[in-house]
Amino acid sequence: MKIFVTVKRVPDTGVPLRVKSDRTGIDREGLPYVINPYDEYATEAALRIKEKIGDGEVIAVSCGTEDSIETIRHALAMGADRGVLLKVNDEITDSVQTADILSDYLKSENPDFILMGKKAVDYDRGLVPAYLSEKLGFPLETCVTNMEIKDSGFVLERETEYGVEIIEARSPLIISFEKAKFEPRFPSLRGVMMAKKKPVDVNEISNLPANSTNILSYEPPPERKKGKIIDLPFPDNVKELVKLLKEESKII
Amino acid sequence: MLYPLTEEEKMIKDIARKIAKEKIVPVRAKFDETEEFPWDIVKVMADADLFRVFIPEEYEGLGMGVFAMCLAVEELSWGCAGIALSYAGTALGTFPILLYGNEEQKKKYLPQIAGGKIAAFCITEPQAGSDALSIRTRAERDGDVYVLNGLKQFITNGGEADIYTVIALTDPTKGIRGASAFIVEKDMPGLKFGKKEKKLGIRASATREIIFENVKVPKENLIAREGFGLFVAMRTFDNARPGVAAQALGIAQSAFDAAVEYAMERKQFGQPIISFQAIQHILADMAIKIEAARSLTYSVAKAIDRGKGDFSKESSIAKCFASDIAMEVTVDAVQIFGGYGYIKDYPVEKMMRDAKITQIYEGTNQILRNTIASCILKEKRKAIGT
Repeated sequence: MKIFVTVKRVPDTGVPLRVKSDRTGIDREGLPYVINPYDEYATEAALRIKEKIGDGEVIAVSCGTEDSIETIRHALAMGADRGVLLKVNDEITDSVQTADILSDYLKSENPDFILMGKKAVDYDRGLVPAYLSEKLGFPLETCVTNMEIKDSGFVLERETEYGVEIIEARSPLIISFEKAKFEPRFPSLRGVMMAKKKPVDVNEISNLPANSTNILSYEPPPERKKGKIIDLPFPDNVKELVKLLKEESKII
Repeated sequence: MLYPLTEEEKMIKDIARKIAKEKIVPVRAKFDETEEFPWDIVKVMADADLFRVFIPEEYEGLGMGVFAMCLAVEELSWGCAGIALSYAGTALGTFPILLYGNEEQKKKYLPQIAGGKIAAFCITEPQAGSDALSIRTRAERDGDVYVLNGLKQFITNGGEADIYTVIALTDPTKGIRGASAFIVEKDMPGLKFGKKEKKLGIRASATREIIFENVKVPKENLIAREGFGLFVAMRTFDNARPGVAAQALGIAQSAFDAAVEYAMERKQFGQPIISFQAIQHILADMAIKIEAARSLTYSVAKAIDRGKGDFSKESSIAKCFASDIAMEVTVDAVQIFGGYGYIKDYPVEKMMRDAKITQIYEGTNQILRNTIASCILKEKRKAIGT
C-alpha cells in the first residue's frame, strides 16, 4: 500500500505576518516556518494507517522551493518512510499550478491514499485537494476529523453543523483533514536522527504548468480601532451602550 | 552565540522546549494545585526519546551524557520544575547503574529506562538527611538474596518509579563503610510506599516514604561490591548535581522571561514599568546571574562528559550557585510583578516556591559548601605536600 501525504512549508502561525511595503507579497525577512498544521494531522493519519495495516509505505510530498526539504524532514522524523520534493524556484501561489504539479507526479505512482491538510494556513484557499481529485479522478473526502481503520475499509468522520457524518471509504481516495480528534505525534529524537538518513528525491520542475490566477496586490488588514469605555453609572451606561451599538457601530 | 551546540544537542533542547511550551505550560498550574503525578507528560517525554539521552547506545539510548541531560532538564524546568523532576529524578536513580552496574544489570535495566520507565534514588532516611552517613536501612545476606529492612524518606519519584537504587548497610559494624548499593524493583514483595508528602513547591513531583519489610533482593542486584555504597552514592551525586543546577537554571530563566514580558506590558504612572531604571536594574542583575550560572553549569557538565575523575567540588559549585541565583531571581520576579506576583493567576509565585527545593535537595547548599571547602583543603595540602 502506497500512502502519500502532502506537506507544505508555511510561516509559523504564532507570528504576525506583515505585507511588504510595495504590496507585492508577505515580508518574509526572518520569518520562522513550520509544517502546515493540517498537514501534520494528515501525516499522523498516514502513519496510523501504516501501523494498523502493518505494511505499506508513507511518502511525504511537497511542492515548493528547496527550503521545503525541512518540512519533508519533519514528516520523516514523525515516521514517514521517504520524501519527494517537487522543486520549483519561486513560491507558487496558484492552486491549479500546485495541483497540476502534484497530479503529474502522482498519476504515475499508483497511490492508494493521498492524505492532505484541508488547506494551508498561509493563503487559506483550500483548493488543491479538490483540483487534485478532479485531475486524478480520485474521490475526495474533505475536512475529515477522525479516522478508524476496520477490516472492511476506512470509517471517516466529518463534523457538520447538523451532526457527525460517518463515511465508509475505500482506496483509492483523497482525504483532506480538518483539525482532527487525534493528536499528531511529536517527532522523537531517534526519529529526527533517522530522518536525516531517509531518502528525499528532488524532482526539478523545469516547465511550470500554466497558472489560472495572478495576485495583483496585497492589502494589509485595516488597523483595529481603539475601544471605547463608557464611564457612566448604571443605568446610564447601558442606555449609552445601546445608543452607540445602534447609531455608531450599527450592530443592532 | 555564547554556547555553541552540536546539531544533536540543539535537537534535544528544541524538543524539550517544545514539550515544555506545548504540553507542560498549559497544565502546570493544574498539577501544582492537584499534586497529581504527570504520567501523560512522562509518556510524551518518553515518546520523544528524552529518556534515551543519558543512556549509552548499547542499551537503546542515544549515548549523549550529562550535558545533553542538563539541556533537557533546563528546558523542561522552564515549563515546570515539578514535572521536569520526573525526568531529572530518573537520571539520578539511573546513575548508580550507569556508573557502576555490571553488564547484566545494564542490559536488564537501562533499556527499560531508555523506553520511559522511571527510576528513583534512595539514600535519605528520617534521621539521616545532611548526615547521610548515619543511615540504618539493613541489607542482610541470606543465601542468594539480600534481605532489606528499613525506611527511606523524601524519595523523589517514590511510588511511581519502577526501578529503585537503594543504599543500605550490609555490615553495620563498619558504619557507612559497610554500605552497599542495590537495584530494587517496584513489585518485589515487601516493598511498600508510605505517605506522599505535601510540599511547598515542585508539587507535581511525587515524594514518598519507602518502607522495606523483608524485601528479598537477588544477589545479582548488588551494584559494584559490598562496602562500595558510599562511593557509588557520592559519584552518583557528582554526576547528578549539574542536573539540579540545570533545573534551577530553567526555573530562573522562566521567571526572568515572565518578568521581562510583564514589565513591558504593565503600565504605571502612564508608562510601561520597564521604562523605569529601578526595574531595568533588577532585570539586568537577574540576567547577569542567570548567564553566569548557565556558563558554570554547562562547563561542569561538559567536563564530566569529557573525563573521568573527581568532580565533587565543581559539581557542588555549579549546584550551589545555580540554585542560589534561582532563589534570588524568582524572588525578584515576584517583586517585579508586585501584587500580581503574589497571586496564583500569574506563574512566578510557583517558580519562587519551586526554586527553594534546589537549595535543599541533593545536598543542602550548606553541606555542599562543606564539600567545596574540604576539596579546597585537600588540594592545598596536596600542593604543599603535607
